Amino acid sequence: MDLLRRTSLAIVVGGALMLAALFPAAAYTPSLLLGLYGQRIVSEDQGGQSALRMSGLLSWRSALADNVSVALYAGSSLDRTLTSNGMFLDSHSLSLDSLLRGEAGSIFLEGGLSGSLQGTLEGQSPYIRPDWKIGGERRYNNRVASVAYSGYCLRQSQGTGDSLFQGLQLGLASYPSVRLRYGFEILGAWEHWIEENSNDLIAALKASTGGLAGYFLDWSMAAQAGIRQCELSGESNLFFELEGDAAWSPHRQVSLEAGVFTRAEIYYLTAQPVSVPGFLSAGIDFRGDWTPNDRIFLVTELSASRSFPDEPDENMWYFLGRLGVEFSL
Amino acid sequence: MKRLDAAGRMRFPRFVFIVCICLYLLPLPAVLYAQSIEDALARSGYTAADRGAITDFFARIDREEVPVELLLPKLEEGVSKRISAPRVLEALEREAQFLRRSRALILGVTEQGALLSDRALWARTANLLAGGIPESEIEGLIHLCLANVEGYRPATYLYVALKDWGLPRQSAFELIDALLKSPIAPESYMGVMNLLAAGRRRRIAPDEIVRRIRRSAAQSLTIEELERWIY
Repeated sequence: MDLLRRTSLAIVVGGALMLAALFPAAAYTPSLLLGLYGQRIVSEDQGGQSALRMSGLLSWRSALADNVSVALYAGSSLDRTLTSNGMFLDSHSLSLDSLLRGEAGSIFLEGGLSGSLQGTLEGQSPYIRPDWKIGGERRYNNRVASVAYSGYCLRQSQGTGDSLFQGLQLGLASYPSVRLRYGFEILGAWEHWIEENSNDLIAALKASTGGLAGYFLDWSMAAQAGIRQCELSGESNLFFELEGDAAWSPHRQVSLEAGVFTRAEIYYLTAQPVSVPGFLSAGIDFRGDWTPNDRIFLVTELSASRSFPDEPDENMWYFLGRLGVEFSL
Repeated sequence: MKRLDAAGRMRFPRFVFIVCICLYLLPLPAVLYAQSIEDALARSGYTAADRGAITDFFARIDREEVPVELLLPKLEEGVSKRISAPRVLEALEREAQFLRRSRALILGVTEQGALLSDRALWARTANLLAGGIPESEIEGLIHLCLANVEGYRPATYLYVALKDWGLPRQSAFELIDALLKSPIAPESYMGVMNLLAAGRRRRIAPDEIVRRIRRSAAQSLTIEELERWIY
């Protein structure tokens, strides 16, 4: 008992000292955001579902020195479904990153933990997912070369999707001006499926571009193509992704964002007698908000997506509508 | 050497040759502008009296040492759009007045006229006046840019965008001051608008973003690098 008390005391004192060290005069004012939303999800398999959501987000960055900073982000959301047997669903995330910069480049280290105790409104069963990333960048005039190692481990209470993912990413980005930026990335990764004790190898190429159009509109587009080679028969596939986003804020009181995406998978080693086995999904989303005073934000979100698997009975529409108010403290 | 001398090097020394060329070229712009005015008026179809009034206007402007080349595009635009001579003259007078006020503003801030030798800076100041930016704000911007004159045009474009976006004057001045003192290239200043908008999406108030930019800009080489230090 005495040992437990001493250990607890040591953790409390150590934690306080660490926080004090991370909170020097150079720390930015922490941002705390609370949100309250009403939302409705309609999907072909589960029908319509209404829910209330409460969320909180804390973000804070502190400069430990001129060339070192750390940041903490913590977020939680709690959903209550509005049905006769209403239930609580939740999701949480916590991440810490540090950045060290030198004359010609920088090194970053990131770690995070996300999870859900009751499952999420989007249908994800309870899970825990630690993730990590370490990398570096080197600048050559207006070009940046980067290398990063990243990974995560997903454990769920149900299902067979538990996996350990580790990847290595090489990137080259160019910023000829603020009106135009483009980048190119190569990803090599390994994913281990824990229950099945099987492994996937993944390789992908990604090209992206974006920039400022005028002073108030930022846009980006990205295209990715890759291959997933699975030990399990029938799972190996080629995949292709396209996505585009635009964000427009003509005045400090207004912000509008829109995005589109599509993803295609072609299973080239399927055991099923299907002529062109594959999967296609596409969607659009929109988010807008207005604030009278930088403290209270009225928010609306709309998104729609549809998946087109080879089996027609799995074709599925998904709609989300959300209205809410956020308070920045 | 003898061959070079025989070719005329000694009879026509290089120094004398260069001086002659310079003397020849020096009045050339004025001649060219006069020719451009004549050419534009010849295409205009204006009456002789109207052409005379416009020619007199440019002669007066030249005597006042207001750069004629900054007013020529206005004349050519009016002629190409077939706008009547009195309206063209009215627009030229208004533009000339903005240029005179610009000169007074610049000389009011710094007694050295070096800034006036930069025609683009002069023209940009006139544009700000024509756009309705108060003189006190333009004076403030000139003050900020005295140590970084090449940043003046991008800084003023950014200032107008910041005001349109709703940032108060003082915050906009503080932000521009931080950028001008940073190693960030002036042509990238407009990228700050994206930092403000992205900060807003994270629900960080614009004034807080300005504080963070002021703290981190001096150590940032680019807008992209600055972005990583303020959220």
